[in-house]
Amino acid sequence: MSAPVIRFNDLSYSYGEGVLRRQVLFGLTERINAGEVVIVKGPSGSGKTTLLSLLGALRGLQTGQVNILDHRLDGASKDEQLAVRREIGFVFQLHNLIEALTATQNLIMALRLHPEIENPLEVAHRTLEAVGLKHAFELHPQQFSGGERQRVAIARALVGGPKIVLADEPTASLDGVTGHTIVKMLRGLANEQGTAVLLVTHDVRILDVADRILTLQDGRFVEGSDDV
Amino acid sequence: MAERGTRFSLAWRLLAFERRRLAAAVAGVTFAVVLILVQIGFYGAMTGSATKVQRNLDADLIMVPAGFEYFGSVHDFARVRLMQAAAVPGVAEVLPLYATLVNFKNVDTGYYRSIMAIGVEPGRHELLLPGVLAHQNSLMVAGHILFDRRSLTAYYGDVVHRFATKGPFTALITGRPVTVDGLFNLGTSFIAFGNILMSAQTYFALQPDLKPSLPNFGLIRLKPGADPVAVRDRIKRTLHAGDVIVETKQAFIQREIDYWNKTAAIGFIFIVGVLMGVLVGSVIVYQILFTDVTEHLPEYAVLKAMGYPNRFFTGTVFEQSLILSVLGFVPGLIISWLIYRYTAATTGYTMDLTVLTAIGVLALTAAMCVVAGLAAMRHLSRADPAELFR
Repeated sequence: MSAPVIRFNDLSYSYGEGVLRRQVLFGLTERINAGEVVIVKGPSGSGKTTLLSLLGALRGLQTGQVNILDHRLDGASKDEQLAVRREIGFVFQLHNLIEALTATQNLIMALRLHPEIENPLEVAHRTLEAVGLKHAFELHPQQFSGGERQRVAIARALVGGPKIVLADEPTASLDGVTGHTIVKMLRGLANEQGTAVLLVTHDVRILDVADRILTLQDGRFVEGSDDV
Repeated sequence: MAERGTRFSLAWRLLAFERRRLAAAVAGVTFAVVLILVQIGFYGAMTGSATKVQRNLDADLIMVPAGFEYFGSVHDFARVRLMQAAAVPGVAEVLPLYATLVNFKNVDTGYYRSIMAIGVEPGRHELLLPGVLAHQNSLMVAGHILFDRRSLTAYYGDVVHRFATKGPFTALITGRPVTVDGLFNLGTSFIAFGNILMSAQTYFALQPDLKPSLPNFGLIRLKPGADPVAVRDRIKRTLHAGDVIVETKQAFIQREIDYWNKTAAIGFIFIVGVLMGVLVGSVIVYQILFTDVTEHLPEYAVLKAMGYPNRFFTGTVFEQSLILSVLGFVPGLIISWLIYRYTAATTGYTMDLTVLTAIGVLALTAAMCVVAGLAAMRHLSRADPAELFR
């Protein structure tokens, strides 16, 4: 059994204050191991995105405990949150690649946060090759199809060799075949690097790639969350 | 070689990606630079031309009448005051200088135009100007004058060309014939678009109403090692007279600049012009960088999510500001230099674009762009990486 790289206990979160306060997460507890692919599904407003942003150290915690690798996020300073984020690969629904940069340069931006990695250009090219974009090192995002953009985004998330990848609806803007190919690729690459992947989605077509599926409803994990 | 592709500037890539916007920003900064440099050039030309005679006087102290306002204003004082000053310890010699506006007949059109006439004692080297020292012999001949080659041709005709092709020739001053027997370099000013130089003898022959005993300026030369301020104070105490003013040369020059700053408000106009340039440049750069930051908020948010600290974004916008300032400064400098040349050729004013001025304006432009960039940067706080997860 691999060691857990993500652990959270009794995690709750609310938006707003006073009478406007609305709790979206209620005492969630879970652990995700290295190399494991976990999908969190659930209806809109169930708290999936909030959970992802808390685990990604993009929001400060309110109550509960979160451990990412060796870092505790509860009580973490901004600088500590920043340090945690550098160890995570993020994949966003809208890719959000930097249009002014080539595919390679987009990856180099991620690698600049990892000065310990030698030959960054070679690493960037190798990662782009791994996602099937050998022909497109010097192309800009606007020259890519939607699927290719998402591949570049995945390559950017993986290029620094993260132990954790957090992906938010990575297939939402893609057709079924492309979406499935992308997620399988994510899974394959993650497995090779022993990376834990936490994937939030509505897309039932990609559930088969998961080791486990967690269902979130009204801020709580419900029955049906289980191994695949 | 393998590292080549990893070295790129995000700031430059973001700017260069939107070429039209970059061109607009550069044009805006260029416009501001031109506005600032031209204002400085005009101000320098005004103050420089107004004080050119004074700066070239070979004297340590200057004596002027108590009612003196500016060079060329018709005020005189008793020459005896100058003689009294000559007796003060520390004074080596004193020289009278005469200056007034006279009418010079345009050698091409025949119309009379005002010109500044300066009367000197030939051989005493009152004015250290190119041409004057070389033509001292010409000045010694009665009725012979030197003509300022930078006087406006439109006002006085093509005297320079005529002299170059025909040699000395006859011109008319207030109806009296004189011989133009040489050229010197001075330049136009607020009150005259040209200058002529002659001996005091010729000066008074042309203007019989004026008297040699009533000079307009007194040049006081000191003995080597004498302290100008101490001697000035000594002269003041000795003369104990309210009809003259004695100043050091530098104070005399400053007095002229102050006069024109106050009466013609050129200092105020200059400051307003420079501020307008800075304002226009700042607004344009702010607008461009604000748009740039706003349009790239999702990308900035991604970089924040990846772990880039806030100082990285500050540095990026700062770098963009500096790039814009340099890109706008270079064409601005070239355009300004052309305007300087054209203005100097057209007006006869001295328009000097010095390295110091250029460096100063570059620093001002950079500061302007950085301030605008800092203002635009405030919007970066809206780049919330948590919002990327929808």
